[in-house]
Formats: sequence, structure tokens, C-alpha cells
Amino acid sequence: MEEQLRDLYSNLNKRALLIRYLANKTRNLESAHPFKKDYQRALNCYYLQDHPNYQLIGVLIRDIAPDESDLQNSYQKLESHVLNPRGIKLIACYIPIEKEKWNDLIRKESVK
Amino acid sequence: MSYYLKYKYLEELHPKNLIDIDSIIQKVKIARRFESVEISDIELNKLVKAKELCELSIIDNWENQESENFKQLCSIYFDIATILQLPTDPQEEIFELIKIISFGYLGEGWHLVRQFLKKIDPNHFEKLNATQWNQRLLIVSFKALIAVVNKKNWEELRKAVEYINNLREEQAKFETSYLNDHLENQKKSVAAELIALYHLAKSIEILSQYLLDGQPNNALEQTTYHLGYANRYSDQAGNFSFKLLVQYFEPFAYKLIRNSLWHITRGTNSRVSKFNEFISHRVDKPVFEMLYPQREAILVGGLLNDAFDAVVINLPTSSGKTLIAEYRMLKALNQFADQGGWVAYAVPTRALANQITIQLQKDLAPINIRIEKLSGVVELDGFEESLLEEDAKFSQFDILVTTYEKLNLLIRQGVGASDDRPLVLVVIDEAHNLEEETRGIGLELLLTTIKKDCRSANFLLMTPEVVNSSEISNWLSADRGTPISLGLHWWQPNERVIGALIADGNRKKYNVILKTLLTQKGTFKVAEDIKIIHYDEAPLARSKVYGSAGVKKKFSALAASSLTDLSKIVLARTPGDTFDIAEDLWNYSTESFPDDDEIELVIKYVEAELGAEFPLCRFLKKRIGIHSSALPEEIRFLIEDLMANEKLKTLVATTTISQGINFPISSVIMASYSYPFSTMPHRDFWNMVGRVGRAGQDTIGFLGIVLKNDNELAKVMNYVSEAAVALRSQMVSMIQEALNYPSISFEQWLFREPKWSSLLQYISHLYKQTQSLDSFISNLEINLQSTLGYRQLNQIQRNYLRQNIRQYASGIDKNHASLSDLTGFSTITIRNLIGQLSDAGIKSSDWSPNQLFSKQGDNLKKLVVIMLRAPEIRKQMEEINIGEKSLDRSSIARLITDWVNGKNIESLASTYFPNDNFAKSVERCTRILYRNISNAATWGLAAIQKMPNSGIGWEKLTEVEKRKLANLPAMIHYGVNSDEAVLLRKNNLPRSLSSRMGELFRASVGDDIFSHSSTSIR
Repeated sequence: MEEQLRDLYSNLNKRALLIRYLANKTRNLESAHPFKKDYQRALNCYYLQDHPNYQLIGVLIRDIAPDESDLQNSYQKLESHVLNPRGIKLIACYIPIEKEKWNDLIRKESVK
Repeated sequence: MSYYLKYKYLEELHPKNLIDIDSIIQKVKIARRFESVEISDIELNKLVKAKELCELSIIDNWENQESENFKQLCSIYFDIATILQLPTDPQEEIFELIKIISFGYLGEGWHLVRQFLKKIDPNHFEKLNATQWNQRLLIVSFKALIAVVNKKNWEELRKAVEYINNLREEQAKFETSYLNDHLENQKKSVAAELIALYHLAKSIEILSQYLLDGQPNNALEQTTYHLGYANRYSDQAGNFSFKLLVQYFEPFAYKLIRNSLWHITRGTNSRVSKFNEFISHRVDKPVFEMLYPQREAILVGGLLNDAFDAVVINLPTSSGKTLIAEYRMLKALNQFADQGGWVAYAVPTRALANQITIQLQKDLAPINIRIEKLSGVVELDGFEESLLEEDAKFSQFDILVTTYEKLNLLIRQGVGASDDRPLVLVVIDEAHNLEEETRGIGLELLLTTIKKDCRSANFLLMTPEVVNSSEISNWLSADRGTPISLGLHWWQPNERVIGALIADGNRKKYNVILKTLLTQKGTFKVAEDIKIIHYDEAPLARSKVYGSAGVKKKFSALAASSLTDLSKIVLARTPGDTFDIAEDLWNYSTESFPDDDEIELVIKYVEAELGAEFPLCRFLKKRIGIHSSALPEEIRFLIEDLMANEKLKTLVATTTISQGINFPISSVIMASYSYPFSTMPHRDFWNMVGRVGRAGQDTIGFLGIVLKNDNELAKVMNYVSEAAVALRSQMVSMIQEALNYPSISFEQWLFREPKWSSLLQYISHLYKQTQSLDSFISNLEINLQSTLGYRQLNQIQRNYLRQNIRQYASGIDKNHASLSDLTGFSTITIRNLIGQLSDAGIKSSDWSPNQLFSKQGDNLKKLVVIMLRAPEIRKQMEEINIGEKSLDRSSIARLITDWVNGKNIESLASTYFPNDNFAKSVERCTRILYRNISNAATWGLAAIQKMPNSGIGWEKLTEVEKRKLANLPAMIHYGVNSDEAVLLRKNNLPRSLSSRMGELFRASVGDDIFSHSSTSIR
């Protein structure tokens, strides 16, 4: 995760790739879909100025019991690189379901 | 559509983020052409942003790939991405290039993709070293892809297949170790990426194979299968960048297949298959893919659809219309093969007839299509008579290339009307000439006559953009006519800038500034003035070229001499101006050029034909050419050839060159946008513009209109911004004008405006075909409805036309009508010729070449006097005396005599124009001989021969004697005095060699020279 965040901070092309990824994910959504609306708003905001305006948010998802050191370690590693001027938000989700089952669960959800 | 509107669309999608992005894109485009335009970092950053947002909009429209908006966005992306730096990281560079290729194709601009790739050093990718198997797969597949897109020849496509085959061999060597180098938990995604790459490589192999020979038949299905897998596995690989690459590659692959000759013409007929086979396998300029307009013409426009009798191809200049015509001709020949059908390909100029004949011979002769060309003179020489007579018995050709006027003569003599040897298709090149002031009415009535007389004839009219093309197709065939136009209004075959050239500064220190101009078409425009030339010490003071005493000729020569571009054209108003401008260019040129065999050969040819003192010999040494109707056809052709081979730096030509240039031009300096007596029509102007930066050239074309002073700017701005109006028949303006002078009869109009002859001849032709005046009159309305002009007239004009036609027809003698069809002269001229011949007392013996072209006799003089009274040629004959000292009738006759008897140009010039300086006298003599005498006197003499009281007893002559007599006018046309020499001149042998070679030819073949086809002579 740290490497991905560091890349996104320092490499414009990587950020552009992420945006294209999101564009592909939203292209079939209705324009009124909340995610699409958020995406469009964020896109406008990002490109509005000569220097892109964005904030990095790292999300860690694990299938273990919550462990504060996960983010602390990451935060310390990233602090010197990306904290200023952008700032960074790190979020951790600890899910009490085994990682191997996630794919199936997500698919079932999307079928519904 | 202007580029402004094309790019504005992107701004509309991102109004807050891309303000004025159209100007920035255009500016950067122009900056790549003109170094003085500077681009700031801010502008470049905006462009990068625009590229990213454009890609996001493309993704947003991904499900609507056939929509115009999607194509427009892809084309915009291509335009932006190709003016920005490519990424430096090799993998990112490859990804970006694949994107550029794909979006270039999806934006219907594969020809631009090829142009762009040409600029990339081919060794660049060879040097890329892949340490990993997946990288190697990607790089080698990419190299194969580049070969597929470039496909300079058959070999390159074979190479693409080879690249992929080599990968198969390498797979065994590298795959296992590559997989083993990864951790267990990475293996699944790494393997998925490899599988995706294998499928990608396989689809590239299918593409190259399919382009090569149209196999496999189900290339589309096979590619879909492999790219489906590539897509699926790229998903599993978890590498989004790679997934995106596969996503973009997929529609490109389908587009490439859909663009291929094989896909577009599948199942048409065996001739088309043979043709595809030939043009895709030939070494020189093979064709594998069709341009967007060509594909649309066939698939959407129904070019090869049996349901359409008349197709009007309404496409921008340089859209590849000749190939479109070739497919349509093959279809027609195939359809009417059992009936012996033939095709007429009619063009406006002799130069174009030459070019087209060569092109068709190159493309179609190898598949056994026989092509013949008739000379551009409005008469049939003995060899042409023989060809047509033989053809009626045993067909001699499949396609006949000729000028509009010559075709008219043939059709009115019944050629093409018979069911045994029907004319099945008429191709009219540059059909917008329908509105040309003097010749348009003749072309219109030619088509009308074909409609009536040749019942099997279909039509293919090719024009640069005509807004009312559906009206034209409807006129030619009411329910079975169709216009073919482009769906994408912004599509252009090439990129260009149009601007006005002004001089800014003082004395000898000044700049030549290009002010780009806003037009309705695809041209770039920027707000800034562009400094294209700077002089610290110009050879001429500014006041000599620009301002109140400005001289455009001088300014053009100066500007052209300072531009470093290769292959530029300076457009002059008159043939005389071409010499003046070239002379200035010659004086300015300080460069020395290495010896060049091709140039030297042309110089020798010019020396042999026009003398060593002819200025062109000097000009060529400094790589300057001239081109106008004042030069012999062969020399014009050689000059065009030098241009095509990029041997000339500058060509100075008259505006007539705009019709049918088939060579690359990087820039045009227009010393004039007017013809000698009128402003250049908009359609002609845009036709000229279309030739600049033709498809396949790698720089933006540039056309600069030279101004005399600042006051002219507004006029020029207005001229280029006006859109072309609907094509109108010349009949409308003729009748409008005639209505203003109701007391003037149609007969009298002939003497005022020779173009009236075409209308009178049409009437007499119709009259000849009817039993009586009554039946002529009762069918008049129907026959007039067949013309385009009558449909465009209002009721008052129609009534007036009918009334006057009745009046004119009541005086027509049917014999004169027949003679009119034979000669291309109106019945009024015929009547006058007969009257004058009665007084001339020409006898049969006077018609032998020795008598007619003898210095002692005065028969030729008598005939010249008669010719000068024929309205159809009088103007051309009178041009002999325009401006300078007149030649009297005796001198004209003596000049013709000397010309036919082989005197060289230098000697003719010093004999007949002794008061001019030598160079001027040679120029003048050449202009008179090649522009006036070779056309008008030839036509006039041929017409006189056919008069009943010409003194020739045709009925007593043998066939060979008749043909020999029919060759007399051709002797004037070619400037030789024997039948053999005429034959050799027809096959482009230099005049200076023709007489001697003719003797040798006669010695080898005997008297039977009329049975030799042009191919056998060659």
C-alpha cells in the first residue's frame, strides 16, 4: 500500500491511470448514480487548476483483528514523502471474514 | 468543418477545465510547422490535461464506438497526443503508442497514423532490450503491430508474421524460468498476463495474415475470440495498465479488418478479387487498406450496388477518388462483359488524361484491362479513327480516357450507343466543371446526350465537395441515383494552414508574416502573426514588393526563394507570369546543386524540343520548374514527374494545375487567386488547397496568399471564409443574360459567347434524331427536362428558352446537324464554313501534305482566314495576337507550315518574333504553338476537311487514304509532317526525333501503320 500511495503522489501517469480505472468503472452508470456524480465532481476538481487538486486516501482491508500498528507503520513510512502539502488519510477495515471468501461474496452482492 | 469546431467539442464536454483549448491545439500544431511560433510550458500543460480529459471522454463513450462523437474524440486525442512528447519509459511509451494507433484508427485516420509512425526511428524499438519474458512478448508484439500498421510492402507484413512465429519458438525457452522466478502467490496473475499477451500476439498475427491475402476468411471472428481471452486474462492479471491496453487494442483490430480491401469488397466479383490481389502484392505502393471515404463510398454509399445507375462522389480532394473509380469500373466491366461493355473516363485536361492513363495502366493493365487514351484535340486523327473502327468489330479497349470535349464528339457520332459495344459507365473526373464558365455547359449537355443515346450507360461523377450533389445524382437518374458524401464533416485527408502573406518592416529589413485565416474547412488558425521569413538585407526593398507600389509576382518569388520547404508551388496568373517569377527565383538562387541524371535528361529533352536557349533549361539547373499550357504536353508531364520524385524545389505554375495534381506539395504561394479574366471560383480554390499536404505527407501543408498591400487583407479574408454555394448549371446564367437582351437571337449569341455553341449543338443533335420539326418541338420539353439547367430555370426562363429553341431549330439543315456532330461546331458555323469554302476554291490536290504545308501555296492562308471566322475557335486564334505585335494571317499560315515541316522553336522564334529579346520570343512562340495553334488550328482544319465543298472527294478515297487525310490536322497538333511521326508523337516521342524515327518505323513495318495499336508502338 505504501508503494502505491507513494507512486500516486509522485507519478502523474499513475494518477492518470487510476482516474482512467475509475472512468471505466463508472462509464455504465446512470448519470444520476451517486458514485458517478461524486466521480464527476472529483474529476472537475482535480483538473480545474493548473496543479492537480487532490487528496490521497489509503484504504487497508484485512481479515484479521484490528491492529493499530498497521497504519502507524504505514503512516511513518509515508509521512516524509506525502504528508506535505497534500496530506494523507489512512483507513483500515478489519473484516471478520476470510479473505478467500471475499470474491464470492462481492460477486453475489453485485448479482443482487 | 473548421478545426475550431472540431476541438471546441472537447471544451464543451469540459467547459471549466479546457477553456480555449482549440486555440492551443492549433497553435502547437502550427508551431511544429513554423519554428517562430513559441509554446509556453503553461500551454503544454494545458495540452497534457486536455489529452487526459479527452481519453476520459472516450472511455465515457466507449459503448458508442460508431457514433460521430466517439470518432471525433478519438481523432482529437490523436491530434493532441501526436504533438506531445512521448513518455521516456519504454513500457509507457509502447502503451502510449498503442493508444495513439488505436485512437487514430477509431478516429478514421489510419493514414495519419502511418504518417506519424514514419517519424519514429525504426531502430528505436529494435534497441529496446527486454530482460523479462513478459516484456519481450510485449515489445516483439508491438514491433509486429508497427509492421502491420506501416505495411510499406508485402514483405513488411510477412515480417510481422515472422516476429510472432519467433515468439512461439522462444516461449519454450523463457516461459518456465520466468514463471519460476515469481513467488507462488504471484504466479496466478503473472501467468494470466502471459496468456493475455499470447492471445494479443496471436491476434496481431491474424491481422497481418488477413491483410496479406484475405485469409482466414473469418478473421473477425478469430480475432474476437483471441481478444476475448486477452481481455479476460488481463483482468485476472490485476494490472490495470495492461488491461487498458487490451481494451484499446480490441476495437483497433476490428477496425483494421473492416478497413481492409478484402473485407470491404468481399464477394463483389472475380475482377475485383484479382485487382485486390494485384494491388496488395505489388512492390510499388501496395494498397491493403482503404481510406475512410473509400470505405464509406462502398459500404455505406452503395458504390458497388446494382441499384444505382448514377453515383456522385462528393468527397474532399485527396480522398482517393481514383481507387473508388477503379472499383466502380471493374464492377461495370464485369457486369457487361458478355455485351462487350466499355468505360469512358473523361477528364478536363490533357495533362490529367495522361496522368490517369498512366495510373490506370499501372493498376488495371496487369489484370488484363485494356486502357486507351485519345488525344485532347476536338477531332479524330487517322489512328483514332482506325482504333474506333477496329473496336466496333473486335473490341480494342475496356477503358477509354479522354477529355470531355473529345468524348462529346464520340458520343454524338454514335460511339457507345450500339448494343454490341455499349458504353456502360462514364466516369467524370473533376465534375464540378459543370459550373465552369466556358466549358460547363458542354459537359452538362454531354451527360444529357449520353443519358439519351447510350441506354446502358451508368454514371460516376467525382467532385470535391458539392453541396447539392443529391440534385446532380437525381438529375442523372431520378430513382437510381445516389450521392456519396462523408458522414464525418470534420474529416480531412491532410492538415494545412491557409494564410495571407504580408511584408512588415522598412527598406531592406523586414519580415514576411503569415496571417492565418479562418475558413469553413479544416485549416488551422491562430491569433498570432507568424514570422516565416526575416530579412536583415533583403534582395529587394519592401516598397518594391509590398505597399502602394507592391507587385505580387515579385513578392511571391522573393518569399518562395526564402522558404526552405521542398516541393513548393508558386501559382501565377498567366503563362507569361510563370516565366517572370521563375526568372526572379533563378536570380535569387545562390545554391549549387549536385548533378542529377533525371534532371539532366529532362534538360536535354527541353533543349531538343525548345532549344538550348529556352529559359526552362537554366531554371531546371537550379531545381526550378515551370508548368502552363504554353509548354508542350510532354514537357509538362516530365516536370510533373520531377515534382513527384521530389527533384524540384519550386514549381511555378498557372492556376490550371489545380485540377489533378498527383504529387506531394508541402506549400503553395499564391501570387494570384484569380484566373486571367476572373476570380478563381471557390471550388477550384479549395480543390487547390486540398492538394497541399496531401495524404501521405508528413508535414502540415501551407498555402500563403500573397497580398499586394494591407488593404487587400479584408478582401482575402472574405474570399477564403466564404463557403462554396450549390453547383449551378451554366445554362441558368446564359438564359438570365439572354433575357436581358431579348432582341438578340441564339444565333447571334454564338458570336458573342462561344459557349453558346454547346447549347446550339445539343439542339441540332436532338433535331437530327427526330423525323420532323413538329416531332422535335413536341418532344422538346421532355428533352430539355433531361438537362440540369432546365430544372434550375424558373418558368419565365423556361418559356424563353423553348421559344428561342423553336426559332433556332426551324432554321437547322439536317445535313448541317450531322456535320455539327462530326466537327464539334454549331450548324451556324458549319453554314458559314461552307459559304466561305465556296469562295476559296480549294481542290482535291491542294490537300496533299506537300501542297498544303508548302511555302509556295496560299491554301493554308485561305483556310486560316476561314478558321478565324469560326466562333468556336476564333478566341483561341485571336489570342495569338494578344498584347504584342500582331501576326498577320499569312504569317500564321507560314508559322504553321514551318512548324509542321520540322523547324525548331529557336528558329521559329527568331523568324516570327524578331523584335522581342530572344528569351521572350521563344516563350511567346512556344505559347502560341502549344496553347493556340496546336488546339485551334488543328480543330479548325479537321472541321473544314469534313465540309462537303472542302474539295476532298472522300467517296473516291481508299480507307488508308482517308486516314492519311484525317492525319493532316494532327500534323499541326504535333508539329510533324508524316503519318509515322504523328503516331510516334501520339506515344510521346519528342518532336525532334519523330520524323527520323518515323522513317525507321516505316522501313520496318511498311505502309500498314494504321493497324498498330499504341501498346505495340510502345
